[in-house]
Amino acid sequence: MDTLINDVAVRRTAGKISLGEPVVRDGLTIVPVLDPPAVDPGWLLLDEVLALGSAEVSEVNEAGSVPTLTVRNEGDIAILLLDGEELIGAKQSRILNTTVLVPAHQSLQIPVSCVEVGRWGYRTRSFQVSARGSMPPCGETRRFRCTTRCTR
Amino acid sequence: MKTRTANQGAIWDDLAETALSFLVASPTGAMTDVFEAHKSVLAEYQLEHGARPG
Repeated sequence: MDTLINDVAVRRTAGKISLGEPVVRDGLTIVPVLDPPAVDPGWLLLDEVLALGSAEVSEVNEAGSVPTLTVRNEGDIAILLLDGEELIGAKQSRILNTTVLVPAHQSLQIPVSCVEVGRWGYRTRSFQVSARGSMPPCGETRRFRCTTRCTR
Repeated sequence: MKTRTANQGAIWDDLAETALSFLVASPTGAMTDVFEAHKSVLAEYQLEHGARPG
């Protein structure tokens, strides 16, 4: 059976990383994982491209669809949208159900979940990325199961 | 075939539980209101635990 540690790319990367000085507060300790010489990954995060004005996240149409949004990338570089990322605005705030890479100059429909049960009306035409909000990725919370496990 | 459909009811349950445990009442049941209500505490954590070069 394949495991993550058998993946060549993972092994190569794991050999280069180092751990930084732990930071402790209120019983929470975070150890930075440091990756030497950063290489341009070939993508930007959603908040970066929204700030540049080269992308837009919106409802799929005027009526909207709770589990789906549209991302339009008008830029020259791909956009990485992260699993659990919160999108605020439009008819209802949502979170991403999975990590998605949107190629340059393309539009994609992305799977999302509602995280604002009491609103279904336009507040803005397009979405912004929450500065703080996110939900842990699939399978890492007690009840949030966002892939095939919960669809049967 | 794989889908990326959520268990929406479970997510709403989780959000309601989270809002209750943080004593936040949101008029629209919005997750972001929980974060907003505690933004000063979160800002402190971000200051100390924020991303660093490397």
